Amino acid sequence: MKTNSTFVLKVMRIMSWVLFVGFCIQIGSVLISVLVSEFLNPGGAQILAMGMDLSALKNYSEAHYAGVVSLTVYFLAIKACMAYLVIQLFRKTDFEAPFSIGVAALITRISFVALSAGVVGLVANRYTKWLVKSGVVETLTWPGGEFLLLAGIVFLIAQIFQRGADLQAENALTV
Amino acid sequence: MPIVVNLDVMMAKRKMSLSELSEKVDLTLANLSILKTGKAKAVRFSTLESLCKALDCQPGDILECRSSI
Repeated sequence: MKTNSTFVLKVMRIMSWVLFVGFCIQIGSVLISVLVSEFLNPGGAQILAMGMDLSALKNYSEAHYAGVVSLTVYFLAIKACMAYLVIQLFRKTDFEAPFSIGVAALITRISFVALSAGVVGLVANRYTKWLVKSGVVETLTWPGGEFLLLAGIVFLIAQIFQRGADLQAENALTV
Repeated sequence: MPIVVNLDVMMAKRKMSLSELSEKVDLTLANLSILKTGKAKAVRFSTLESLCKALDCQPGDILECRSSI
Protein backbone atom coordinates (compact mmCIF):
# COMPACT_ATOMS: atom_id res chain seq x y z
CA MET A 1 0.00 0.00 0.00
CA LYS A 2 1.14 3.55 -0.73
CA THR A 3 2.65 5.50 2.14
CA ASN A 4 0.11 8.26 1.46
CA SER A 5 -2.82 5.88 1.94
CA THR A 6 -1.28 4.45 5.11
CA PHE A 7 -0.98 7.97 6.52
CA VAL A 8 -4.60 8.79 5.60
CA LEU A 9 -5.81 5.54 7.20
CA LYS A 10 -3.87 6.31 10.40
CA VAL A 11 -5.42 9.78 10.52
CA MET A 12 -8.89 8.28 9.93
CA ARG A 13 -8.35 5.76 12.72
CA ILE A 14 -7.40 8.53 15.14
CA MET A 15 -10.33 10.65 13.92
CA SER A 16 -12.81 7.84 14.54
CA TRP A 17 -11.50 7.49 18.12
CA VAL A 18 -11.79 11.28 18.59
CA LEU A 19 -15.36 11.19 17.21
CA PHE A 20 -16.34 8.25 19.42
CA VAL A 21 -14.99 9.92 22.57
CA GLY A 22 -16.52 13.27 21.50
CA PHE A 23 -19.99 11.77 20.99
CA CYS A 24 -19.78 9.94 24.33
CA ILE A 25 -18.88 13.21 26.07
CA GLN A 26 -21.79 14.93 24.28
CA ILE A 27 -24.23 12.23 25.42
CA GLY A 28 -22.95 12.62 28.97
CA SER A 29 -23.27 16.41 28.89
CA VAL A 30 -26.81 16.24 27.47
CA LEU A 31 -27.87 13.79 30.18
CA ILE A 32 -26.27 15.95 32.89
CA SER A 33 -27.97 19.08 31.47
CA VAL A 34 -31.32 17.26 31.55
CA LEU A 35 -30.76 16.05 35.13
CA VAL A 36 -29.75 19.56 36.23
CA SER A 37 -32.83 21.10 34.59
CA GLU A 38 -35.01 18.41 36.13
CA PHE A 39 -33.76 18.45 39.72
CA LEU A 40 -31.56 21.49 40.42
CA ASN A 41 -32.82 24.26 38.15
CA PRO A 42 -36.37 23.42 37.05
CA GLY A 43 -36.82 26.83 35.41
CA GLY A 44 -34.16 26.41 32.74
CA ALA A 45 -34.16 23.55 30.27
CA GLN A 46 -31.10 24.32 28.22
CA ILE A 47 -29.05 21.57 26.66
CA LEU A 48 -25.80 23.49 26.87
CA ALA A 49 -23.67 21.19 24.74
CA MET A 50 -26.11 21.38 21.81
CA GLY A 51 -27.00 25.07 22.20
CA MET A 52 -30.69 24.16 22.50
CA ASP A 53 -33.16 25.98 24.72
CA LEU A 54 -36.13 23.74 25.39
CA SER A 55 -37.61 25.78 28.26
CA ALA A 56 -40.77 26.62 26.30
CA LEU A 57 -41.24 22.98 25.33
CA LYS A 58 -40.73 21.86 28.94
CA ASN A 59 -43.35 24.31 30.12
CA TYR A 60 -45.70 23.20 27.32
CA SER A 61 -45.40 19.46 27.97
CA GLU A 62 -43.03 17.31 29.98
CA ALA A 63 -43.74 14.36 27.70
CA HIS A 64 -42.77 16.22 24.52
CA TYR A 65 -39.69 17.57 26.29
CA ALA A 66 -38.71 14.01 27.22
CA GLY A 67 -39.36 12.96 23.61
CA VAL A 68 -37.09 15.62 22.12
CA VAL A 69 -34.35 14.93 24.67
CA SER A 70 -34.63 11.19 23.94
CA LEU A 71 -34.28 11.86 20.22
CA THR A 72 -31.22 14.04 20.86
CA VAL A 73 -29.61 11.30 22.97
CA TYR A 74 -30.65 8.63 20.44
CA PHE A 75 -28.96 10.38 17.49
CA LEU A 76 -25.82 11.06 19.52
CA ALA A 77 -25.77 7.40 20.59
CA ILE A 78 -26.21 6.28 16.98
CA LYS A 79 -23.29 8.47 15.90
CA ALA A 80 -21.14 7.12 18.76
CA CYS A 81 -22.15 3.57 17.84
CA MET A 82 -21.18 4.13 14.21
CA ALA A 83 -17.83 5.65 15.22
CA TYR A 84 -17.23 2.58 17.43
CA LEU A 85 -18.07 0.23 14.55
CA VAL A 86 -15.64 2.13 12.31
CA ILE A 87 -12.96 1.70 15.01
CA GLN A 88 -13.73 -2.04 15.00
CA LEU A 89 -13.49 -2.00 11.22
CA PHE A 90 -10.01 -0.50 11.35
CA ARG A 91 -9.01 -3.05 13.99
CA LYS A 92 -10.30 -6.05 12.03
CA THR A 93 -9.21 -5.06 8.52
CA ASP A 94 -6.06 -6.76 7.33
CA PHE A 95 -4.88 -4.83 4.30
CA GLU A 96 -2.90 -7.81 2.97
CA ALA A 97 -6.17 -9.77 2.62
CA PRO A 98 -8.89 -7.15 3.14
CA PHE A 99 -11.95 -9.18 2.21
CA SER A 100 -13.23 -11.27 5.08
CA ILE A 101 -16.62 -12.42 6.34
CA GLY A 102 -16.04 -10.59 9.64
CA VAL A 103 -15.39 -7.26 7.92
CA ALA A 104 -18.40 -7.76 5.62
CA ALA A 105 -20.60 -8.49 8.67
CA LEU A 106 -19.29 -5.37 10.40
CA ILE A 107 -20.04 -3.18 7.35
CA THR A 108 -23.52 -4.74 7.12
CA ARG A 109 -24.07 -3.88 10.79
CA ILE A 110 -23.04 -0.25 10.11
CA SER A 111 -25.58 -0.10 7.27
CA PHE A 112 -28.36 -1.46 9.52
CA VAL A 113 -27.51 1.05 12.25
CA ALA A 114 -27.63 3.84 9.64
CA LEU A 115 -30.95 2.47 8.29
CA SER A 116 -32.55 2.47 11.74
CA ALA A 117 -31.26 6.02 12.34
CA GLY A 118 -32.66 7.09 8.97
CA VAL A 119 -36.12 5.68 9.67
CA VAL A 120 -36.20 7.21 13.16
CA GLY A 121 -34.90 10.48 11.68
CA LEU A 122 -37.77 10.66 9.17
CA VAL A 123 -40.36 10.03 11.91
CA ALA A 124 -38.60 12.50 14.23
CA ASN A 125 -38.65 15.18 11.54
CA ARG A 126 -42.43 14.78 11.16
CA TYR A 127 -42.82 14.99 14.93
CA THR A 128 -40.66 18.10 15.35
CA LYS A 129 -42.36 19.77 12.36
CA TRP A 130 -45.61 19.37 14.29
CA LEU A 131 -43.94 20.82 17.41
CA VAL A 132 -42.56 23.78 15.42
CA LYS A 133 -46.07 24.37 14.01
CA SER A 134 -47.38 24.44 17.57
CA GLY A 135 -44.87 27.22 18.22
CA VAL A 136 -43.22 25.68 21.26
CA VAL A 137 -39.82 25.17 19.68
CA GLU A 138 -37.83 26.96 17.04
CA THR A 139 -36.41 24.98 14.14
CA LEU A 140 -35.38 21.45 15.05
CA THR A 141 -34.18 19.03 12.39
CA TRP A 142 -32.82 15.51 12.56
CA PRO A 143 -30.69 13.71 10.01
CA GLY A 144 -33.06 11.28 8.26
CA GLY A 145 -32.49 11.17 4.51
CA GLU A 146 -28.73 11.44 4.94
CA PHE A 147 -28.66 8.32 7.09
CA LEU A 148 -30.84 6.43 4.60
CA LEU A 149 -28.49 7.33 1.74
CA LEU A 150 -25.51 6.31 3.86
CA ALA A 151 -27.23 3.02 4.75
CA GLY A 152 -27.82 2.25 1.07
CA ILE A 153 -24.24 2.98 0.03
CA VAL A 154 -22.71 1.12 2.98
CA PHE A 155 -24.99 -1.90 2.37
CA LEU A 156 -23.81 -2.00 -1.26
CA ILE A 157 -20.18 -1.90 -0.07
CA ALA A 158 -20.98 -4.73 2.39
CA GLN A 159 -22.33 -6.85 -0.47
CA ILE A 160 -19.17 -6.16 -2.51
CA PHE A 161 -17.07 -7.20 0.51
CA GLN A 162 -19.13 -10.39 0.87
CA ARG A 163 -18.44 -11.30 -2.76
CA GLY A 164 -14.81 -10.25 -2.36
CA ALA A 165 -14.46 -12.57 0.64
CA ASP A 166 -15.78 -15.49 -1.45
CA LEU A 167 -13.40 -14.68 -4.30
CA GLN A 168 -10.46 -14.27 -1.92
CA ALA A 169 -11.18 -17.64 -0.30
CA GLU A 170 -11.37 -19.23 -3.75
CA ASN A 171 -8.13 -17.56 -4.78
CA ALA A 172 -6.41 -18.81 -1.63
CA LEU A 173 -7.48 -22.37 -2.53
CA THR A 174 -6.30 -22.12 -6.13
CA VAL A 175 -3.12 -24.10 -6.59
CA MET B 1 -17.28 -33.14 -4.85
CA PRO B 2 -17.29 -35.12 -8.11
CA ILE B 3 -13.72 -34.16 -9.09
CA VAL B 4 -11.21 -36.36 -7.26
CA VAL B 5 -7.49 -35.59 -7.14
CA ASN B 6 -5.43 -38.77 -7.42
CA LEU B 7 -2.14 -37.08 -6.71
CA ASP B 8 -1.29 -39.44 -3.83
CA VAL B 9 -1.88 -42.47 -6.11
CA MET B 10 0.44 -41.09 -8.80
CA MET B 11 3.05 -40.15 -6.19
CA ALA B 12 2.93 -43.67 -4.80
CA LYS B 13 3.24 -45.15 -8.31
CA ARG B 14 6.30 -42.99 -9.01
CA LYS B 15 7.60 -43.52 -5.44
CA MET B 16 7.91 -39.79 -4.95
CA SER B 17 7.54 -37.95 -1.65
CA LEU B 18 5.60 -34.72 -1.24
CA SER B 19 8.73 -32.68 -0.53
CA GLU B 20 10.46 -34.13 -3.59
CA LEU B 21 7.48 -33.26 -5.78
CA SER B 22 7.32 -29.81 -4.17
CA GLU B 23 10.91 -29.13 -5.25
CA LYS B 24 10.29 -30.44 -8.78
CA VAL B 25 7.11 -28.46 -9.49
CA ASP B 26 8.15 -25.36 -7.52
CA LEU B 27 5.05 -25.36 -5.32
CA THR B 28 4.92 -24.94 -1.57
CA LEU B 29 4.24 -28.00 0.59
CA ALA B 30 1.12 -26.23 1.91
CA ASN B 31 -0.31 -25.79 -1.60
CA LEU B 32 0.53 -29.36 -2.59
CA SER B 33 -1.12 -30.56 0.59
CA ILE B 34 -4.27 -28.55 -0.28
CA LEU B 35 -4.30 -30.23 -3.68
CA LYS B 36 -3.60 -33.71 -2.30
CA THR B 37 -6.31 -33.57 0.34
CA GLY B 38 -8.90 -32.37 -2.18
CA LYS B 39 -9.42 -28.99 -0.53
CA ALA B 40 -8.36 -27.04 -3.64
CA LYS B 41 -11.10 -25.14 -5.46
CA ALA B 42 -9.14 -24.65 -8.71
CA VAL B 43 -5.94 -25.79 -10.38
CA ARG B 44 -3.95 -23.56 -12.75
CA PHE B 45 -3.01 -25.06 -16.13
CA SER B 46 0.63 -24.17 -15.38
CA THR B 47 0.49 -26.17 -12.12
CA LEU B 48 -1.14 -29.11 -13.87
CA GLU B 49 1.49 -29.00 -16.61
CA SER B 50 4.39 -29.04 -14.14
CA LEU B 51 2.74 -31.84 -12.13
CA CYS B 52 2.29 -33.92 -15.30
CA LYS B 53 5.92 -33.29 -16.27
CA ALA B 54 7.24 -34.16 -12.81
CA LEU B 55 5.12 -37.31 -12.49
CA ASP B 56 5.39 -38.21 -16.18
CA CYS B 57 1.66 -38.66 -16.58
CA GLN B 58 -1.46 -37.15 -18.18
CA PRO B 59 -3.92 -34.72 -16.49
CA GLY B 60 -6.48 -37.53 -16.47
CA ASP B 61 -4.16 -39.60 -14.27
CA ILE B 62 -4.21 -36.86 -11.61
CA LEU B 63 -7.82 -35.67 -11.92
CA GLU B 64 -10.83 -37.93 -12.08
CA CYS B 65 -14.53 -37.15 -12.34
CA ARG B 66 -16.70 -39.46 -10.25
CA SER B 67 -20.46 -39.18 -10.55
CA SER B 68 -21.08 -40.43 -7.02
CA ILE B 69 -18.85 -41.00 -4.02
